Amino acid sequence: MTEQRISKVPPHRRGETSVESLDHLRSESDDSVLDNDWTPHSDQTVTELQRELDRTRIRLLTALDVVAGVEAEGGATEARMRELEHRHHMVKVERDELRREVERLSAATGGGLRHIVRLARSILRRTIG
Amino acid sequence: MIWKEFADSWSEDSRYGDAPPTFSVIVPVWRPDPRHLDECISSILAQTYDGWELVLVADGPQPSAVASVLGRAEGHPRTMVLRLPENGGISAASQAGLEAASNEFIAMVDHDDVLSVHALGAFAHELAAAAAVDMAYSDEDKLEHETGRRKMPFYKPGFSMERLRCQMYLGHLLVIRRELALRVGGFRTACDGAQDHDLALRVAGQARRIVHVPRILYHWRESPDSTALDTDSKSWAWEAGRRAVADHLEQTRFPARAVRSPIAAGVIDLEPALEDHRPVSIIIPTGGTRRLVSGLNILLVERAVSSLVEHSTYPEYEIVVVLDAESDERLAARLVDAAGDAPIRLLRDSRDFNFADACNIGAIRSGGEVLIFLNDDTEVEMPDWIERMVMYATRPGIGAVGAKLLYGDGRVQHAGVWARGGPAHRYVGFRGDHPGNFHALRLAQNCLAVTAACLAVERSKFEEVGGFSSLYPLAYNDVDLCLKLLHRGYRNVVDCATEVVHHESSSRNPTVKDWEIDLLQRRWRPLLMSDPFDNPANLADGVDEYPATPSDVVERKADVHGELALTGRSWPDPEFYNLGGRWHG
Repeated sequence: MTEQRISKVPPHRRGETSVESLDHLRSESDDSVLDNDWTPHSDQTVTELQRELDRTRIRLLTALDVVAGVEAEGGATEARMRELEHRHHMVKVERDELRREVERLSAATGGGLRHIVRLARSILRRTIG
Repeated sequence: MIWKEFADSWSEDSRYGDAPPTFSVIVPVWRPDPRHLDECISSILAQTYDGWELVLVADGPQPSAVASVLGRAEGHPRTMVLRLPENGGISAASQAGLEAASNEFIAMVDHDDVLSVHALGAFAHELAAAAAVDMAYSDEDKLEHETGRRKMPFYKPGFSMERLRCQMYLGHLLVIRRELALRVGGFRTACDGAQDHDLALRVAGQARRIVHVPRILYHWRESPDSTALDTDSKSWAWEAGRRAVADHLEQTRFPARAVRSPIAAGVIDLEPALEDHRPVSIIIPTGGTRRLVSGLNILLVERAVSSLVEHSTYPEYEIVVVLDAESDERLAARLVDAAGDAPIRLLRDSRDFNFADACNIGAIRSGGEVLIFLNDDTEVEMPDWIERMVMYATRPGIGAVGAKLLYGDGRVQHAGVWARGGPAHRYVGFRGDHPGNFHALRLAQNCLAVTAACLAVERSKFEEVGGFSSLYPLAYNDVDLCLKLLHRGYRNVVDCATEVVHHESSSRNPTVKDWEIDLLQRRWRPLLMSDPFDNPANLADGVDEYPATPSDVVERKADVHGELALTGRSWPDPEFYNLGGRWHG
């Protein structure tokens, strides 16, 4: 890799073998995290500012994740409602069609269908007592 | 086979809305076997749905037997026969048919193929059920040339712009709104042999909605000179397809070159041709785990870093390693050595291990415009893997990009994630060189999600959806991220032409907890119930690309279609879950 190629990436320390600690992320109860009035001031070190930036950006990501999650759950609920409404509609359509079919058949048999049902019932009564 | 009988069943008691759609079925004719042409025409005349006209286009003078068949068809009141004076080719004939057509949609049928008698009815049902559909396509199978026996069903996925760019998987039966087909310029002679693919690419760029009809409604005959029988029989057609894709890439400013795949007929490889190289940050969370690989006890993350440094050709990237609290102190020096001249940042996150949190802080502390999350148990062997992932990730309509991951023994570990198995990786255990369902393992395609073992995403999109959710410390954080992106209207892509080795979960306990699944279901149940990129008939999780057993197919279809009968809607149904629809870009 060439020097020119590396220089285009945001600078950082080359050859540095130390590992940067992120211990500041462990302190959930750190007041600075919750202090909405926190403002930078001149005697703060770059390190402290970086740490505050880390916490703030994590809070931002978390907030955006919460928003996305709520949108998703809202969308899921709306989708389920639409599905249920449609199923309800289709069931009613089928019910109405069945009613019309029964009426049609009943008319076509001149009341014969009801007669058949009465006959079947009487046969059953005689058979089973 | 049982699947054919079930596929042919259709309820006549369907709904077509207040303004039932109408179709112009266009059949270009050029000296076919007259028996097959007769069978084709008969299948159209026998349609159970009435809203159609048939436009037969005789592409130049025809033998007398064929002319007789055309003459008999002309007697039908809804059939017209155009007789072109000269043979101008299939595009010219198709265009003539398009200009003569008068109905709302056009449907292209080849002169020796056969439609299911329910084809137009099924399409009418789907078009009436969904609003503003501009293009629709069905599943298909093949007819043996002599016997007419049906075989090789192609159960297609939901619409995938990325797959259409690599392969004309839409195939038949393809239905396009006639006004839009004319507006985009219709059929082009320059793409003879791939005229449908060329038109579909242009239509997809402007379509409001594209619908998949998950039924086998078209039977493609294996003629001796047809690519249905011999994929090499029309090499010129495949070259036409490459040109169609190349034109599409140029028109859409997609940074790639179209190259015919050397191993898969009809598949177009996209070779990256990036105009600029935006800074990339490769983020690797690690615990410094060791394992035996090829008999050697290796430090996984060291192997990951050294392999990507050795092989990658991308000029602008940095590596950000997020170490956990238990990592050995000597690890830092080894990683810096492994990185060589590559820029590397080392962070130690001493919080309880949480993959999501580690990735997020790595992203926050990195400077790249494109983020690539990489597991510490991966190895890179492909030189242009970053270029390929960036090529997709920087497209405006694309969210997460994944790669085909292979186990150390060459078998597939990941080729995208689907909802089946709650969700799960596709094609796990397949041979690494397996083509997949009609070359699905050789090209890019849209999918529900990709694994974060190798996942690229633009920083702006990552931050827009809140990164990885800390609610998923170990499992499903990648699926959740991808579904958040999908919900925002982005398309997730797995590029199976990009390969990375992944030893999978050798670093962490791979067990998924019930509460993790419950949490995922609570947010994403509708998508997990009906994966928009799957097909209700695709049940094969085994080694075959076709359904495992006919009985499995029948049982599953009965379940799915039992639901369909009650709701009267198709599956999957975009109306039930609005995905926003960034079809292209």
